[in-house]
Amino acid sequence: MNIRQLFWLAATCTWLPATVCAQTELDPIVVIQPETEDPHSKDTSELGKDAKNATLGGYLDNMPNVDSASYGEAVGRPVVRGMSGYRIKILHNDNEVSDLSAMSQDHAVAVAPRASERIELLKGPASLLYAAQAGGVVRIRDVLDNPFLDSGLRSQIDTDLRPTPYSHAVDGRVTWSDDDWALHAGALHQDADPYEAGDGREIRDSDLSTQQAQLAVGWRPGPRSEWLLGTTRLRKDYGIPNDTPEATRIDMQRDDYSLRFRYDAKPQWLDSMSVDLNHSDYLHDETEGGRKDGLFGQKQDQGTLRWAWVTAAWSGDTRLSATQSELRVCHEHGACDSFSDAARTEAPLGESVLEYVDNTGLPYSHGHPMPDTQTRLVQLSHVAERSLDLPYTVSLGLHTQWRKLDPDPDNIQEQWVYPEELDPQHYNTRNETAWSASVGLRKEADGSAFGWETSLSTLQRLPSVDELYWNGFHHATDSYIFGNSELKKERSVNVDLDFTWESQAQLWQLSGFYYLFDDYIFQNQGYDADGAELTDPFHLSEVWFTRQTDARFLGGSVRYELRPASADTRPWLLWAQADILHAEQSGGQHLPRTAPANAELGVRYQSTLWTASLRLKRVFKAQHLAPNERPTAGYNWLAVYLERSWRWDDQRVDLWLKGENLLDVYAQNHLSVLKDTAPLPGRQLSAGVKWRFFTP
Amino acid sequence: MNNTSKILISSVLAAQAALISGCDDSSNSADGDSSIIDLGMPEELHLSLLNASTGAFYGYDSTNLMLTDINEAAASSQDSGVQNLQITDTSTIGHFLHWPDAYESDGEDHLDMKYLLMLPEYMAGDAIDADAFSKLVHFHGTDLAAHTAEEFNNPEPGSAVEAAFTRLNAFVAEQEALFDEVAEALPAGQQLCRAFVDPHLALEHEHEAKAEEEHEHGELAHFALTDSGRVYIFHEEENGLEQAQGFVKLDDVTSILDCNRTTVARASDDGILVFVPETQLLYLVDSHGSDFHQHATWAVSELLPQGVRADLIAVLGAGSEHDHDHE
Repeated sequence: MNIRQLFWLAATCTWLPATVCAQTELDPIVVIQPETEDPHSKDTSELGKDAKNATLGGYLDNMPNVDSASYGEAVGRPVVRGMSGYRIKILHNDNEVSDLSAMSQDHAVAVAPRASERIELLKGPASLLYAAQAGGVVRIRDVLDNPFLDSGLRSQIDTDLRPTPYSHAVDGRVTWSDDDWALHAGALHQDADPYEAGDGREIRDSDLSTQQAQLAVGWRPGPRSEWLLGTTRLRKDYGIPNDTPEATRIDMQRDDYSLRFRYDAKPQWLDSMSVDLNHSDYLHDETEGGRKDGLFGQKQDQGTLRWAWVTAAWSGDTRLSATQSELRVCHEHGACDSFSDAARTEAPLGESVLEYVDNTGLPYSHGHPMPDTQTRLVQLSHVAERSLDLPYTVSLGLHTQWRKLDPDPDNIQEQWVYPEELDPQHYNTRNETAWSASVGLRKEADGSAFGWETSLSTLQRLPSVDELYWNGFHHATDSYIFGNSELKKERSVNVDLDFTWESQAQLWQLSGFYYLFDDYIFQNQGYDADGAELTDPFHLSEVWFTRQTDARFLGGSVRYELRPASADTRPWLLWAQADILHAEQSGGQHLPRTAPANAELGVRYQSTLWTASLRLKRVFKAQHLAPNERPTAGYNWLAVYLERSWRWDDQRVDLWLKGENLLDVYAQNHLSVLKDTAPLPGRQLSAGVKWRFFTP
Repeated sequence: MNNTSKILISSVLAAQAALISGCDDSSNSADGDSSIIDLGMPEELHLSLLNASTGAFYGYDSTNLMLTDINEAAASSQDSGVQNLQITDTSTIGHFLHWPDAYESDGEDHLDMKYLLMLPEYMAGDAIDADAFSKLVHFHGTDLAAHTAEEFNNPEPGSAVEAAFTRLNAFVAEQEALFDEVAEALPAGQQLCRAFVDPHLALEHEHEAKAEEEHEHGELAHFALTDSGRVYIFHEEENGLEQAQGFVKLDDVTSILDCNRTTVARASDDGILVFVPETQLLYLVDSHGSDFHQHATWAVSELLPQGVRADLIAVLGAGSEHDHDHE
């Protein structure tokens, strides 16, 4: 993209509100929006009551058509409506989480959900403000997002304990703010011993340790402007419960530094404006037997300009962001203490790769599996909403991104560099653009009315760096993976439908989705001409190829809630929920690790002082299998939660007890690559105390 | 392989491993000047690292991970065998010659790993007598020790020394034949630097052949290191050696100037350890039931004190299997 194009983009993003402004300046109105609860945004402490573990996937997998791609207790990335990995964007205070969790199933999401305030799952037009992902956007927000929320001193300490297997966690945060200044400090510490499966077997190398520290300072120089400076340091050290003879571990750290300026304009066309600058430094090493076999680092700088605008008819947001990131990779046995460039002699590049092409027909490599890459990304997005004749609302989303990708193979040993003889353009700079759009229509459910929401999106996703360039052994899946530098953009048409019918005593929610993909990027196993499994020449591991196919995802969920009448309040809630998903590629073959159907029955009692819930979830046998995929047995999961609260004027104490998998069944997660060596935990009982203090 | 021969060879390997660890423990206690360095190398190996210019001489035990200054250990030892290890004259340093001394004693096969420090004027392939080398190094009990060449002057007819020379020269002749055979099998344009067959596995194959039993270790690999840094792997077929797979290219090697100063030695049943002075790297080339490949590299600088370079490396021991499951 040249300067002229950038200018055009900037002009585009300023044109829309400016035009609208011109239309509305002469006739200003004040729009007072009722404070309704955003159905997409969940209080983290509420999610935590039903969370199976401390991972993001664990916090979200009770939501309809949301699952967790777990990898032991330490790793769990959400899978939304069958969309996993790069098809879900995870944001922390609206900055993209600069981790590598989408790259591989063993890489944890670099956030600590329990230290956050709210988690939102955005889909349809609203999600396009941040990214164009078929699985939507997970937006994690903590105090750093708004330390001025309430003036005064607020503090909170949560601690919990699981006696067997031992686990404890404590997180504390204190925030003080007045009209001009805000200060915040928070810390989290969590340790967990290896857990036991339902058959009583201790899962080796399933321990984890998490620490997080946060600091922030805010300043309001005037009634309409605000500066926020914040930093977050997160460290996770966890075992990989695989079947290697020696312990495999990942030690990751993410350091974030952010500066934000917000300006609330007068109530004209410009409602508010914010500028975010964020620097993120992510690093994790992978050790086996204490030796550093892998090192992955990503440094990312991001600048974002966002403004919210409102007119007589439309309201919306426009967002322009520029990101520069550098990804470095080392993957060599015991030799990844630091990143380095490989030596270059006068020997031809890639001669060992060519040798394997001659002998096997495939460009096997035993060197670093991927080049270092630099990515520059510019994203421009608009979302807008307009009320039609009440109660209908139409929403629009537009997202475009331009990416420049510079692969640099200097880190790869010279004999394993992808040779020019095979592809002279393999490491060429790539300039790519993707456009996505979404339109939504919503009818509000008001009182006993029937409401619905639908969206139609057409999305484009650029292939990720590893999908393009990975060529080597993959630790997490014990397989050899060939990336594919010829990948095209993945395109999808996504239809989402949500119906709600609500009365005073009952609620029906019916959701459905149909996603149609062109050039869906996936990996499938390789076979030779005789139908025998291909194995790599170094480890005799299965060989997987990154390919594209047309694919479709079809699924839905139904939820019924009953609130039996009980005097003035309705503290009892009974519910039933069921999810189903079907995913296949164009040839009719099922896609791997498709979430099996599940159904849940639950009851909850909630009064001012007591909260109690009992849930029984049936996960059915996974039987819609990809070729050579093994089925996963169904299981029943019984969970209970009990909480007693004590409240004073300025304090509140909650004491809670929680039990997961009370039936102590042996269960496997079909979505987990390690379902055999890392089954789901057996019965776990834990207790905790939460103390909150607030003084204005 | 019949059970008896397997037990005998295994016992030799186990004893060697014990000797290696024991030796360095002894050295450590002798001078206290040892340091622990864990590079993740295969265990049960002893490396002797020698700088030809300065005479700096170090021993590394991959089991107890200790690096020992051999010259210091020799100087402080009361054992003449250990004292003989000391490098006193760098002008006598030519190259190491690994000698897997296979002999029969009391009806049992023995394989005693030794190496000789050859004099600079010795030409590879020539017959060896006491004038061709300066030291012969192997384990005496738990200690690494050396015999000086003077001990081998004018061997008595029928003596053990004469028998040893006979075995040594037979080995040299075998190596010459192996070199010629492998050189002939190399692709055109490739210059052989060093040919190697694992003596432990060769002995096992020999026993298996005698017992007419199925091989348990697959085909016996013949390794060829070329002067361009390639390692070729051959198998012995009816019509001679045939290339078993594609070559393995060693990292960063452009050309090898002095092949005598390279090392190809057994790392374990699974592969070999290669040292190339030009790169100052040790290469582990092994196979996990599949193709041989460069599994790992270790910089010699990570073993030796800062600024010390190794020109020669000798490797003793049977080695234990490296972890192959993951990279």
